[in-house]
This record gives sequence, C-alpha cells and structure tokens, in this order.
Amino acid sequence: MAESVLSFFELPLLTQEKILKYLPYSELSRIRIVSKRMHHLCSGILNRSYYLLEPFIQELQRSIKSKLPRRESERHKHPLSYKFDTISSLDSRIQWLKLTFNSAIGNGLCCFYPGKLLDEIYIVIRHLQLQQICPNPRSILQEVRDMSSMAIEHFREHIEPKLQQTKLMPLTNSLGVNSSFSLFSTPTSTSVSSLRHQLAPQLRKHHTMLKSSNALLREQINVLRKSVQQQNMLICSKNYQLGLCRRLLQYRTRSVLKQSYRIKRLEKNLVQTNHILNETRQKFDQFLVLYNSNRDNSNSREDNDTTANNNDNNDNEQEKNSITLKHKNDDDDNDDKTDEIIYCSTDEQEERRNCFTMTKNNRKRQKL
Amino acid sequence: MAHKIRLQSSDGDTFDVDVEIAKQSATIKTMLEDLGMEDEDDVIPLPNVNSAIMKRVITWCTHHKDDPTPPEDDENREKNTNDISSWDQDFLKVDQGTLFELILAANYLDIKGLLDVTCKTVANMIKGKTPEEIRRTFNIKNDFTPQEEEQIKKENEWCEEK
Repeated sequence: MAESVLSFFELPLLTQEKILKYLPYSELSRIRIVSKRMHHLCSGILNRSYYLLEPFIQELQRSIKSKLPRRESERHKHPLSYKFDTISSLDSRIQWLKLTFNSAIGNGLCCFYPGKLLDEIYIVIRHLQLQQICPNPRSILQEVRDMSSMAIEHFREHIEPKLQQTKLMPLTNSLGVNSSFSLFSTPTSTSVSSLRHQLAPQLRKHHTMLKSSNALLREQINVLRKSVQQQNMLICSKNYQLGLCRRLLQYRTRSVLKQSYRIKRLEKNLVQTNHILNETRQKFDQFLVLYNSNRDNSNSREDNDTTANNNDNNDNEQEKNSITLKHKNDDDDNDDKTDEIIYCSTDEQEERRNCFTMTKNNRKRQKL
Repeated sequence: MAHKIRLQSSDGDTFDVDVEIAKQSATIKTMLEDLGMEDEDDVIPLPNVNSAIMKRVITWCTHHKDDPTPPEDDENREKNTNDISSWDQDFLKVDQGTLFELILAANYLDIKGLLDVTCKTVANMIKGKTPEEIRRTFNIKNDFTPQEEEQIKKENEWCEEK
C-alpha cells in the first residue's frame, strides 16, 4: 500500500454518505460493526431514512386519495383502492414501529437497525408510486408485516432490557438524534440527560476522537482565517514601513539635489574667483613690467650717482627679484628687508585686489 | 472548430481541452460562464487536482462527452450498482489511492457522472464483504469494545431464522 494513501474516512462526509447510500439498508446494518466511525455513518443514514418514512407515506396517501372518488362506496370499486388500503396498512405499521423504537432512537440508545425492514418498506413505496396494477395486492405487504412483527418482538425481548443495563460508549452527534449507543451507569437512573451530564467528559472525548469532516474543515478554516489575519497585519505594517521609506527617500533625494545645486554654485564661484585671480595676476605682471621699466629708467639716470644708489638699486633689484621670485612662488631669504617686503607682499597678495592696489601705490611712492 | 481552454493542475502542468468536454465539470462551467473567462486565453488554475488525476479525468470526460445529463439524485431511488459500463470498469481498475483521488477530483470539479461511477465502485468494494475483510481493504481499525460488538451482533440477530 502507498505511504500517503487516502483513507475512506478522509473523503468528504457527504461523499462517504453518497457511497454508503448505494448499499441496501440491510448491508448498512451489517457493516456497522466495522468501526465506530462506520457505525456512526451507517446509523445516521438508517435513522434519517426511518424518519423520512412517515412524511413519504403521508404524502403518498394524500396523492392516492386525491385520485380516488370521494364517496366511500365508490372507492371500493376503484382500481386504485388496493393502493389506498396498502398505504393505510403501511401507515399503521409505521405507527407501531414508532411506538416501539422512537423512544430508544430519540434518546440515542440505539439506531433503527432493522435495515432489511427499511428496504422492504421502500420497495413497497416505490411499487405504489410507479406501478398501476397489482395482480396480488395482499402479498405486497406480507413481507413488511412479518418483518415488522419480528423486529418489534426481538427489540422488546432482547434489546430493550439490555439497553437498561449495558454501559456503552456514546456516539452522539450535535443533533443527538443519530446516536446509536446507550449509556447507563445504574439501572436506577431516571433521566438520560443526567447520565449524559455525568459522562460529559467521556462524551467530549469521544466527540473529539470521532471528529466529523465538517468539524475538521471548520478548524482548518479557522486556522486559515487566523493566518490570513496575521498576514494582513504583516502586510499593513510592511506597507507603513514602505511609506516611511518612500518619504525618507524623497527627503534624501531633495537633500542630494540641494547639495548638488550648492556644489554647482560653489563651482561657479570658484571659477569666478579663479578668473579674478588670473586678472589680478595679469595686472600684477603688468605692474612688474612697468615697475621694472621705470626702475631701469631711473637706474640709467642715476648711473653717475653714488654707490648708495647702486646699493639701493641692488636692494631694489633684490626686492624686485624677490617680488618676482615670490610671484613665481620662490622664497628668497637673503635680506630681512626683502623678507619683510616679501612678507608684506605675501600678506597683501592674500588679500583682495583693493589691498594689492594700495601696496602698488606705496611702492611707487618709495621709488619716487 | 473546437474552442479550447487551458487547465492548469496543481503541479503547474497545463492541459488544452475542448470547452464542451471541460463543461462537464460544473465548477469549470461556472468559471467560464459566470466569471467571464470564456473569451480569454487565461489558464484556469485547478489547485486541488494534480497532473496524473487531471489526465484521467480528461480521459473520462472525453469518452463521456456525448452522455446525456444525469438525473438528479432521488432519496427513494433504487440502489443499483450493477449498471457501470465495461469501459468505466476498466477505467477504474486502479489502486485505491487513485480511486479516492478521482472521487475527490470529481467532487471538487462537480462532475456528477464520474462521482456516481466512482462511488458505485467503492460501494461494490464494500458489498458482500465480511466486516474483517472491509477493515483489511480500507485499513480501518476496529475500535469497539467486546461489549459493544456483542450489542451490535445481538441487534442484527432480529431477522435470523432460529
């Protein structure tokens, strides 16, 4: 046999009943003994079919009566009169069965176990519904009469007394109608309801043991519903987190945009500053050229002057060189004076163009 | 010109089936007509049926495509399990697990003819067997106490000739 083969009782409950309904009631009564679950199923079908007898017969009686003449004298001559007599006899038999079995069945002490009798009654009903004539009307109900008498006698002699004594595990369902086993603790118990209350834990235990497909399905549905609710809550929280992340992303994107815009502005400022610096350097170069040319002119005029002028010239040349060197970003540490000038030049070069212009004017004054 | 639809089993396999054959399943018929899936090329998912069972169901439906609509079940109908056709009998010569899977598939897909014939087959497996044979066939455990068994045996003696 395969490892995970479906079993008969794992099929849906309605399907299990559908399969069993293809069997005669006598078979159902016979196979009750297979297991408690099979007993529960078969008892349910037997009891339901037993309870359906009365409305069936009454409906049939009404329909047959409607086809017969209303006058009693004419009714006896009608061909369908045998049907009316049969159904009336059948009805009285059913009432007798009710008197005998209904109490025990209603209290869940046993089921309607005479399956063969049920088969026979339904055969008679089918005959009355479908057949129009009958060669021997008296024989139709003979089997039903005999069987019903046997069933009632047997029940009264053998079963009913023992129902008072036998202590059996119950097989009650939620309706309490289709139960099949009796449950007695003492012969002096007066009401079955008190007995049921005493043995409620055992009843509950058996109910959980049996567990119809509907109960299983309901449990599965509840479990699935809970997991769906949990999933929904998880989805809600994830959606919220997603919203937060989206807002954060938008904020960060805006910040990045602002930063990039700021960088562009700074780059633009830098370009402008470099441009200004270049212009300043050009002007300074021009000044140097002018200064040097002026210096040369003054040197040529003062050639005949004393060496002090030459020293000054040297100093100036040095100064000029230092300035030139400084312009070339070289340091000349020969003279303190030069260093000072360099220092001044450096300081002023670090300032803006206005400061440098002032320095240029100072130098012109010195030269003169 | 047969209009085909695609059915997808739980394993992910798809099967192209004629619409008229597929409509033997009331479940698929409802999906096509009431949910408006008839004109689309969408795949109809059937998550409760695996590929092996789907193939068998399609085979059965293809063979029975010209069958008349089966009548509704009557509470007082005659219980007859001898009217299974020879083709169906050969078709249902499978192991018990496959037979029950076919019952589940026929129940889910709501194919009355297949459900009837499979249930009749199982009923025939029960009919005539002793309780012990039935327990062996379906791997059912006898959970009665000796007293309970005795009571049932006593009840069933009502029609025994002495």
